[in-house]
Amino acid sequence: MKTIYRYLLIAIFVATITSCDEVSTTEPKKDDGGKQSNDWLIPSNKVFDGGPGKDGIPALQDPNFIDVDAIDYVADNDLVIAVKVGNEIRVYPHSILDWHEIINDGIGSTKYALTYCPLTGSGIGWNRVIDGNETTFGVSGLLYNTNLIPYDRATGSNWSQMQLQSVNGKLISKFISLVPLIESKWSTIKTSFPNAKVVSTNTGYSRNYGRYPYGDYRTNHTSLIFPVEHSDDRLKGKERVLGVFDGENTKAYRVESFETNGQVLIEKFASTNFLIYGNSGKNFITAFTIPNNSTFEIITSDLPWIFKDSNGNKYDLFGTSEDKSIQLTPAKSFIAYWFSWAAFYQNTKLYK
Amino acid sequence: MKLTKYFFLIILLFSTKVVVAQACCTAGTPLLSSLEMSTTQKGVLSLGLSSKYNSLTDVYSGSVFLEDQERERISNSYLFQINYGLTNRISFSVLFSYMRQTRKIQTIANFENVLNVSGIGDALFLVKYNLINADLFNRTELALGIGGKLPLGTSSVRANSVLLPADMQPGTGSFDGLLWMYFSKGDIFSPNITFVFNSSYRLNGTNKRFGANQAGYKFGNEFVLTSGIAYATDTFFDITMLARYRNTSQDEFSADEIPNTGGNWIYFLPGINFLITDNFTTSITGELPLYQNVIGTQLTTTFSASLSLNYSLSLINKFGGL
Repeated sequence: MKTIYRYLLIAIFVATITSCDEVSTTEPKKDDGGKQSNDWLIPSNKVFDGGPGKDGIPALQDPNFIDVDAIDYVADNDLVIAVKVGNEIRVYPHSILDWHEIINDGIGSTKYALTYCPLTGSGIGWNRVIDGNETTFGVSGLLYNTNLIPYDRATGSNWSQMQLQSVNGKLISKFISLVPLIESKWSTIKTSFPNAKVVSTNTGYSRNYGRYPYGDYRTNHTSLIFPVEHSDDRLKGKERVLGVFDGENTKAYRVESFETNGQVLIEKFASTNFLIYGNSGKNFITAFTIPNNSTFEIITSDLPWIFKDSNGNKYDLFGTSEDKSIQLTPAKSFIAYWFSWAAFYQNTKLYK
Repeated sequence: MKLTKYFFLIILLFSTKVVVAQACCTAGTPLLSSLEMSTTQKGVLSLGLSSKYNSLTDVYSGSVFLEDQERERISNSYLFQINYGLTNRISFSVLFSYMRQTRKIQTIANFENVLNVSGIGDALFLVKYNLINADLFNRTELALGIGGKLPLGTSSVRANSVLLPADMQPGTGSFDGLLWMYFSKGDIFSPNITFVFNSSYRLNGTNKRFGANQAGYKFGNEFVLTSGIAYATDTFFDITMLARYRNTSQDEFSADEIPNTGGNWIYFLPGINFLITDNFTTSITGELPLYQNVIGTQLTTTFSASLSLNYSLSLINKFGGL
């Protein structure tokens, strides 16, 4: 019987020394003194670790680019994001962004990070110069409303991609300034901008860029991987919408609401006059702020020109006039899956 | 007394986490493959301590290996198992676990970002029924078992107030059902060779790790089949050569499948058992992946190893018929 007691005591001993849940982490030291603070602008109990961990999804830095003609890994209907600075246009396919989520890049003095969350379908250009200091962004591995939380490497602050704001760390509460971009299917972009440069698959990482990494996620309207704060069943969850900001007001526009040959919509849902151009056939939608009483007219089948003003000036997908003398002001907006837009902007209006 | 000291020393080694062990991106607490494969004779109490180390550094897309060495997952599990034979046909096993999960990421600045989580894991219980008992003349044994997993471990550990992922948690947070079977046949080609076949199936429940009002998370059901031979050398050690097939279905959130979870694996398990005394054995087992076909892209097992200590005593002999 003593033997049994002996081993019971040993078992109790082992159980005692190991009885508490313990967590430890290492973080690089930052100028805010080290580990991230526990103060969050968003409910911290709704922030989830997505699994891969901080930098487990590696952001790209100054990627290689190749000509449009050399691209063989993007299908015509695949979505891509394009940025234009001056006369240079760079294209970032979703098939790269699905695996890296952030690309730190720049054209001339314009330094930006292409941030893309595959779980919310949101691609947003972020200015990498914050308070005069250039930084880069990495993938924190955290999610809020199942949306990407980038962190800036200068301060370690965490940012909510779709909230467009730092939500934790030294820069908490600060809003990010946006770099305009457009998103459409590859055939639209390559036809419109044959001289653009496209991110190469030679990224330095071994990834299967020809394969979408999330199964049927983008077409399964009910499939979510993490909870969101608010659901709105006015549209199917994964339908892509352009969310437009007018101060505190927001409105979402469905790509599918627009004509297959393109359609110009001019409207004011708060105080600003917007031009919304959508083309369900080209899978394209964008928004500009325009002066009151402006009139525009659709142009069909003449990419990159999509509409013209009352003076006959033609404008491309970026809102640049043919003679480059006029640049329409991009509206503060971005494209995302409906479920995520509705989760972040719960009182949003919806066009059609 | 010497034996007690030796036993105690090894337990201390376990407790200071010197000995290494397991996990997977298709994971949860890796208990199923740790269950005692065989049954326990009537009146015999068997106590086992084991430590398993599982290193995951290989990234696979389906069955294709990807050159990606930036990430590493290490899972150590420390298991305490009690087996007891109630009758000639009925025995039971109970397994308690302590888990330590580590996630390492090599950042672009060559900084290693490390997260460690440790805590009490889940517990398994299993009641086994021998349909065929082995004896001196017929060394064939067949047993079936049924049991479950109790969520003793937490599945909601947070770091900096952020809920950590399901497969970094010490427990799965769900009550699971368990089916088990065991078959062995001795005298295969030689009196020293025994053929063993063991399979188990875990039907997982759903946890509430995101909160009571949120949809539940469910680990994929798991099927494990282990088969091979044990060779008795008639000396102080035996050798086992086993193959293991493991299948897990995809995890689910709100009844929708989670991408990049689940898959099929085949492992080779070489092992050696040392007979320290008539009652006391220790074994070392490796687990080397031969084939991996994961759903989507996953970090998966590079190798694992386990060290086990087992002490058996007959309560009938000792106490005259317990």
